[in-house]
Amino acid sequence: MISLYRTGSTWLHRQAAGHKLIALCLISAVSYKFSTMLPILVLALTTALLYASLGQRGLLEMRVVKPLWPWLLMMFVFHWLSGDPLLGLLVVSKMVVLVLLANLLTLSTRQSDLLAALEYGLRPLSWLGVSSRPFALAVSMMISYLPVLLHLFEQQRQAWIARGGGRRGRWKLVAPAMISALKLADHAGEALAARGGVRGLR
Amino acid sequence: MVFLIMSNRSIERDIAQIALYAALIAALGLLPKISIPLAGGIPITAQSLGVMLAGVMLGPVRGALALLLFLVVVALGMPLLAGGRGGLGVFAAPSVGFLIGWPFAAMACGLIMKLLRGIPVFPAACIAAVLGGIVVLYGFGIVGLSMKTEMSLAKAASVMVVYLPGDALKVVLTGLIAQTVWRGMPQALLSRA
Repeated sequence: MISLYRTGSTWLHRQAAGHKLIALCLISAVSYKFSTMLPILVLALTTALLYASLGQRGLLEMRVVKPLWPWLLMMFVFHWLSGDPLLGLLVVSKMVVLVLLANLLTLSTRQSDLLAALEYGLRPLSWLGVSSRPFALAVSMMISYLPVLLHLFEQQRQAWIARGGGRRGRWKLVAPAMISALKLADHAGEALAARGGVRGLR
Repeated sequence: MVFLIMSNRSIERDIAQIALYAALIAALGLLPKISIPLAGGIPITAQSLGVMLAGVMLGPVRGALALLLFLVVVALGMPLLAGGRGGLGVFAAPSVGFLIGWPFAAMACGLIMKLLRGIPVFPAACIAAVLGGIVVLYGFGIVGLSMKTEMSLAKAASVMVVYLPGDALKVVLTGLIAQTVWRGMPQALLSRA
């Protein structure tokens, strides 16, 4: 399964996932107070330096904000038309910087490490008698379902074409595909229960 | 003791179903997205169909949990949002209101589905999808957009109009799927089970 994580051993990769997460939350919270361009520019410059510090490919990773451009343009144009282009610039640049910072954490932290940090954060739940095991199980099941589901839909589509179906009416496949997926989930649930269930997991 | 075994068994079944709907939403994100040139290329995606389905089929609690699970996996860095987006960055983007609204929308769909027990599945699912998947979801989306962009609520709301035709289609699809599943595998419509 593809991930947005980039394998590497930069200084940022070596920081603990939990620390990076807390730092990101703090910066995001503080940046909401920014109402002039100067602190945002400083933060933007710092962010760019952080990307550059990750080596040759680092700066390239900043392209993650590219899909956002229609939103950014819309926001800027809106504020420009309502007579406050500076506010537009402020809002747009704040957003770009925050997305870039968050992505910095995503690309330098393994999913398993983030999951472990999250489970650590959920620990207070266990004082209330809630186990984090069903949660971890659900995450791994969802990730393994995805290719299975895609395969299942592809099978339905192939069968539809074999029966002479064209592009029109292909939406009719959704419901039968759904039923076979639900049967699959039922079997998986039963098999899990038969193997000792959530409590049997180590 | 029997009760314990029974309840334990249903936990696995619940987890399997919740994970399935989360995976379904991810799969829907891989469908080609439709971009309307007029709206500056804001994509219309199939993913909110998954939100309506999760709520209508799973009921309020499991539906909301499926969406929370999906969001956690996205936050962990899987590029599962339409267009291959993911990671923590999406929670700083202007569409964050929709993401936060997803679990609540699914919960609303499930609640309304439960309230409408008395009427046939197709109309019940359509009403639930409209109220949960459009009214509640847009509410969150509009507030999020207006907070993120410093736009007025009315202006942010007017942006949402472009999503309405697509979402109307998803409402009908949700109704049809719920009805077909109700006929073919009634025990899978957990909101009615």
